[in-house]
Amino acid sequence: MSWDCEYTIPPGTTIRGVAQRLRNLTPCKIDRPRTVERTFLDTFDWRLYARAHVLEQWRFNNGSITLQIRRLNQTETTGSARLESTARFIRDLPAGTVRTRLGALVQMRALLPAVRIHSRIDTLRIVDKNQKTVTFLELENSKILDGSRDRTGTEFQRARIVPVRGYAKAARNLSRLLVEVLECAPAENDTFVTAANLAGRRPGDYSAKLDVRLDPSSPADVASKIVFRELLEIMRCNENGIRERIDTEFLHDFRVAVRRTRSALTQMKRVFPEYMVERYLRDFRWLQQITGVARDMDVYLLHFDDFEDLVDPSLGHALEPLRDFIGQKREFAYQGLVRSLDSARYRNLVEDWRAFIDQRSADSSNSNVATRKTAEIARKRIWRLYRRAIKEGRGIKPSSPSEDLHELRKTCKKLRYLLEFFNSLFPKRKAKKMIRPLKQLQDNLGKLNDMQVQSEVLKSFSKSISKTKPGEPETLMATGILIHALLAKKEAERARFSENFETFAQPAVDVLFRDVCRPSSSDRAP
Amino acid sequence: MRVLAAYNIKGGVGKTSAAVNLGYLAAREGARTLVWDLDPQGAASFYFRIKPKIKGGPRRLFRGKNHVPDLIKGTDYRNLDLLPADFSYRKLELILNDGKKRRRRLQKIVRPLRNEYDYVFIDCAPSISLVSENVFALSDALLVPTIPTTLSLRTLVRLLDFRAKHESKNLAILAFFSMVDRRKALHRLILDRPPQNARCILKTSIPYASDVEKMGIHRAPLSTYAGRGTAAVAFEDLWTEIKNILDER
Repeated sequence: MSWDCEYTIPPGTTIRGVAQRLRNLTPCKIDRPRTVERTFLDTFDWRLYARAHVLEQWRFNNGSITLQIRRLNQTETTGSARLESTARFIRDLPAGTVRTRLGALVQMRALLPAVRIHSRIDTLRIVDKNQKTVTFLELENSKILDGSRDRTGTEFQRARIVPVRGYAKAARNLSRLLVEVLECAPAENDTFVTAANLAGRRPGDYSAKLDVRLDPSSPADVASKIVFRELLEIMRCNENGIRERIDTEFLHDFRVAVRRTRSALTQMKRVFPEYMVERYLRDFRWLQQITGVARDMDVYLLHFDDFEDLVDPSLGHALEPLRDFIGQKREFAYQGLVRSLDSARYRNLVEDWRAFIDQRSADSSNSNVATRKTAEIARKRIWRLYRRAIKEGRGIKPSSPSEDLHELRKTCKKLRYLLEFFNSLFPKRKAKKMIRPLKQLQDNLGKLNDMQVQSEVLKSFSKSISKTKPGEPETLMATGILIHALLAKKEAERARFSENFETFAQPAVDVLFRDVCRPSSSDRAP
Repeated sequence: MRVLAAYNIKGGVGKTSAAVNLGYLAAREGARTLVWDLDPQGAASFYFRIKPKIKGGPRRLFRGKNHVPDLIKGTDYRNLDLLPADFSYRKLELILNDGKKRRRRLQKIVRPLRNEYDYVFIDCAPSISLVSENVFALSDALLVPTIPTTLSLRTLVRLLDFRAKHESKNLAILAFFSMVDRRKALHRLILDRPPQNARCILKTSIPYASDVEKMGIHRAPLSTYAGRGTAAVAFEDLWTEIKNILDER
């Protein structure tokens, strides 16, 4: 596109002034102004913004609501839908383009208001000699509705060109008029980003992905603490979402951060005093345990539609009591979990852990190991885990028990975490090539484990249901079919294991690991 | 993408107004919509104030790289685009006859638009020809405006026979009474007792109204200037009925 879409209006110029001057410069029509309350929506982890999409919910004075999706820094909507009421999840949206497009990006996450503004929009239609609209110009005066106290009410003005397909020249001409005659300047940011910043928010400021830049030559204890601090931040950010049960991923991200912390502590245990490592390992294990049931129930409910597809369509409805049963268990688990998050034990853990992270390294570290270079320790640990994963994988035969696969799964997880912690120490492309086959193997092992556990747990659920609701033979039958189908799927997944493992264990990947993990001469120096 | 063709063997039955008004209603609801003016008279293009001209002529549609996306023009309404007519569409029959797979050539050229639009409304020229067969091949449904007269109903039966013979059973035929004038006894009679063999006739009918004729003066869809008129309301009902039928299929 050879013109900019959004422009700032020079200070001291009103929207009416721009419209009037433009009317003298080019034939145009003016539509009746619209006032609208616009809520920019995104997930907690900015899934839309990260993929350069903007989702706006417009609520007009007459109460009607529309949802519009467009690309960041572009003004043409790529889909819109009318809503009866505000939608929080994809499943609340009417079938159609918006739902399909958003579904792929948002998945199971809730759509949360990122910023809310009130806009008055004057639309000018630039017309040709047949009075046909060739470009729209929207002149907006917007006010922040809910930012922090001192920011609410902040106003900003924008001019935006909405091109009409097939009339690029007209949009270019209008752009020239705006800049050269009306002294408007191309806006630095999309309205969404501008409004969010004015309200005190920074789109993209949270991601569950660990993104730390480590210095290869920094001491291992310093680097570990950088990782720990980032993980603690992730945990803290997600607490509120867990308390309010906004969506399932708050708990998921929280748990991943806990597991990563445990994994890093175990791998770096010689870096810090033993009694400290033990204490924190114990406490983080506790956190992992108290969040386990709630997460499991979340997973069952997330997969429930797939479960229904696995049984005969005529019996699909018979699984509803099972869904209710899991729903109740989930609610119960969450209540317990929230109590734990409010407990003194959790509060103390977070406070002590933060104090430990903030402590000057020399006071909290095992001096001889701690001062070793991060890169050296990282390579050693990664190499060791990689070798272990290969050894465990090679030992798995078609007759091996599922425990062996579970062990391999845990080793792979640890290896993955290490690779992610120390991502910044390795060349980006190599790190990617190492992680990709590992991820594929992990997916396979994860599915295997899920299906094994799910079939066992469903068995115990059906026992509980048969005790509490003996009059539901169809539900028991459907659950039986479901368990059977899950086990069959598990077998299919098991058959894919060797192929996935061979991809991971192939010579090319081995060379990469050797290459990256082989101690460099500088590491060997005393 | 759903392709709906406003089609009738007869002319002057309200095909263009159906394509334009239903297209507008779909776009107004937020669906990305394209109206394809396939009638050399270019009436739909005229209503949208767009020149009925295809740069390079219709042969360009079929030659080399697919040029269709470059030929589309935006209308005055958001989400609503037009693929304009060209006077030489009158020779489209000959062009289609030239190549291989002659019944599927139009289908091939709209394929790249699959992810771009939710609905394509085709405004067909009155006839039954190779062009029509191409339209049948690429459409999900034919919207057949039918004036409640004996001859029109006879034409509709012909169309149903044609579909049966050509085994295009997936093609839905959604006929609706158009230009209904309740002052005429015959119209009243047919509307109250529709023929048994035409089960494909929708419940909604479009009245004969001067509002519809004024589309030529306003050069705009009905709802933009006479939104509360009986004809505009009838088109809204018709659109709801069509959507429900399509959703059930």
